[in-house]
Amino acid sequence: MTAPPRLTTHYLHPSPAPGLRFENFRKICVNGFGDGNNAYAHCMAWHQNALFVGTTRANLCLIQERLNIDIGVWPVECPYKLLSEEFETLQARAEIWKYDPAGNVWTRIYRAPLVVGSHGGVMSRDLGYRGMVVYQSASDPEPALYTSNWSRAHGDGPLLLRCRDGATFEVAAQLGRIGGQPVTSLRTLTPFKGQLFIAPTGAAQGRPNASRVPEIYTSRDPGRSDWVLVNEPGFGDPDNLTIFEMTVFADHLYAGALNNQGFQLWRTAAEGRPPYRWEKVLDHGAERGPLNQLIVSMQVFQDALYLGTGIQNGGYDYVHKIGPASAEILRVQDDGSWDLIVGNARQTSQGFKRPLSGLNAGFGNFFNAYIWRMGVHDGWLYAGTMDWSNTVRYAQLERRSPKIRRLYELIGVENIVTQQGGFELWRSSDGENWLPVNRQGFGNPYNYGLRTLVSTPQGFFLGTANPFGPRVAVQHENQWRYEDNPQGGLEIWLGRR
Amino acid sequence: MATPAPLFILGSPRSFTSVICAMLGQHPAHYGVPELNLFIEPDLRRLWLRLTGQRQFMMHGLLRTIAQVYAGEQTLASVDMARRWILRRLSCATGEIYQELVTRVAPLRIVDKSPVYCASPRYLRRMAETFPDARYIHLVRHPRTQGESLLRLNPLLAAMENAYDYSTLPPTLDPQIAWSRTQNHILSFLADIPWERQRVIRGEGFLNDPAPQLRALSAWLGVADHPQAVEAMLHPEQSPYACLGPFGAHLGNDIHFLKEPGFRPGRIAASHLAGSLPWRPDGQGFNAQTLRLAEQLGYA
Repeated sequence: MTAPPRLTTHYLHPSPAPGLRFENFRKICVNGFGDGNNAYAHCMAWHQNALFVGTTRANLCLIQERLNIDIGVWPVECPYKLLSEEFETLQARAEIWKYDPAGNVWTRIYRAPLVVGSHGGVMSRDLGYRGMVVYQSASDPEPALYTSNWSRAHGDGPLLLRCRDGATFEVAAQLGRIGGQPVTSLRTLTPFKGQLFIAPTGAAQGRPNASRVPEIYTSRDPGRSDWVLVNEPGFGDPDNLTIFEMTVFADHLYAGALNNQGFQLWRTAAEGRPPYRWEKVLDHGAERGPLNQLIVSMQVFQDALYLGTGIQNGGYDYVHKIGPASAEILRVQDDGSWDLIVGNARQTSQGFKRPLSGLNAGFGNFFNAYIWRMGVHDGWLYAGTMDWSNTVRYAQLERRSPKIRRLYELIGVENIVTQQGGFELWRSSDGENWLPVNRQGFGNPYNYGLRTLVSTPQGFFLGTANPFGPRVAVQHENQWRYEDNPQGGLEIWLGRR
Repeated sequence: MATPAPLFILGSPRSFTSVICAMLGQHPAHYGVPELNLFIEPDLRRLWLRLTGQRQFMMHGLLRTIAQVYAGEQTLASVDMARRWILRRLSCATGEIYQELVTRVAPLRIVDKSPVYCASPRYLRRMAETFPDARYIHLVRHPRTQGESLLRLNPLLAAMENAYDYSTLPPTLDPQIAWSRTQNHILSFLADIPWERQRVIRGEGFLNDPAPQLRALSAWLGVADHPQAVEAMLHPEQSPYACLGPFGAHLGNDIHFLKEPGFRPGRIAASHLAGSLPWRPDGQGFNAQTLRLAEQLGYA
């Protein structure tokens, strides 16, 4: 008789451990923590055995006033003008919430202060919190929570908040005016080699995603040491409008630039003195052109870098006439080679590429405008989308081309919303073969995006973007009325088996 | 990583192939799969086109395997994923597909028992060409009880195998015809396979006292033969494929096995070669060819 083998059947089993299914998730927050103005779970992090969520509020009211989009019926009621006392005190003040899994308790631990703006009036300093990361600076005794705000055109520019004790926040760094532009927000905060890298994302004047400051800065001690520019602006290409997303992969810092000819992907080892030496990895949106305008998400999984693409403003950049189009997932190797995972087949300089998943752009759904966030949990790669199908309800179809109008009439707008309204969440055990967790916003068509995914020892937390609260337009026999929306406001879900 | 060539179980339908394949597949070093049926066509496109309509159930085993191996579950969503996996490989040879699965489950050895392979020497050749180092178990069942079982399950299955005695008018449906043909295919094929890579097993004897035979087969295959391994193999019902699959891929194996996949210890009574056959209205018994093959395979 031979000796028993050391390896167990379980160890050798070729199948992946089961991934999370929709039924493995439970909703742990509804209606924007009870306030439908909390629209986006815009940033999220696990720190000191608790979950922290930063919100952005009343997004659709901001968009209505700032971006001047005329789509027909405005989806939500916006009773107050921007900068009015009511708007600033009731709708604008961004929040940070803390979730204690042991007690299943949410606590609001921070609320944006009211300050006097340059216009002389009182306003909320922050409309939202867009970036959040755990980082230990040179002067932090232990890792601390850093979050970046979405500041105001009439404010002092973006800032970083720091929380060391899990309960109180202080301003760690005030960045002020950057690159000569009225920068308002930082989206990506990326620790690498002991430094914190940031990039200005949004600016005033209706440019939430294109600051026109395509620069990356670093500091070893935000608030105490200077921010140092580490790249030639735009990497020398004036068409690079913003550094929208960054991550660390294979001992390099990767940066994705928004570009109307198609995103560019750059990387640096961040060695020596800044500005660092940068190397271009991809351009022209991985040879799809403008329809891959930007890299919205990046995720390292199984020794490769996955990119989720998109077109700003919900899949249609009406200013630059780009889109509408659905998003792709690409896989980049350390040597610069890349695969099309989810997307449209095309000829490239590396040969003809077909989607390895067998799924066309948007996981086959035209309305999936971004791969908004990806995350890894228990050996699975998850990808969440932004799906704008719900907004078709409010569109003035008579302004569309006869062909499009006829298409909507044949399918039925309500059929579209009912059947596929809401974000999609997909998962893959190997990065190539994907299956859906849910394709209907986790049962809520107003959840139009999956904005944050955080893997923790307590499970997999998801935060949605749901700007359809607190009151939403509802049609009654061709008349639109604003009504309380019981499904409006961000949601947080916790998945575990 | 070593990628062991598969272990193929060759036998007629209704010859205990499902349960014995599932048992061997439960060895910690093995991976038992449902009926993959890959070798009946040279490439996946032809297989995909052939196994449509009434034959689509013959794709269920492959769909379930892909779903399980790549997603860890057999659900509507993962079967849908498996279809995409297949569709983007339509231009591949079926041997390439099989090799991809072998690599995926390595270091475990695939145990496969698609009975359709034995219906044609071409399928068997394709198998051997793809895996020159494969091992084979020739699993046999007494032609009388095999015929009775086949007809009890569904006479149409015998008709589909062209199990007719054309010497009578009208032709007589007689499962021994298909039994003999299959055994001939297998024996001819194995004649070219080195003896150390093949074994003959009589199903009745195996199931009457499986433990010693499982140990012996483990030793032959070079895998552990300790009690835990034998115990694992006595539980075919623990295979992820030992149940009905999701809609659209619910089979992949004998439906009776899928409904009751457990090994039930008991005594399978010996049968006899002499005497008339219950399914023949003319009262005839086994023909000379069947008798010769049965005796060659150990049935007295």
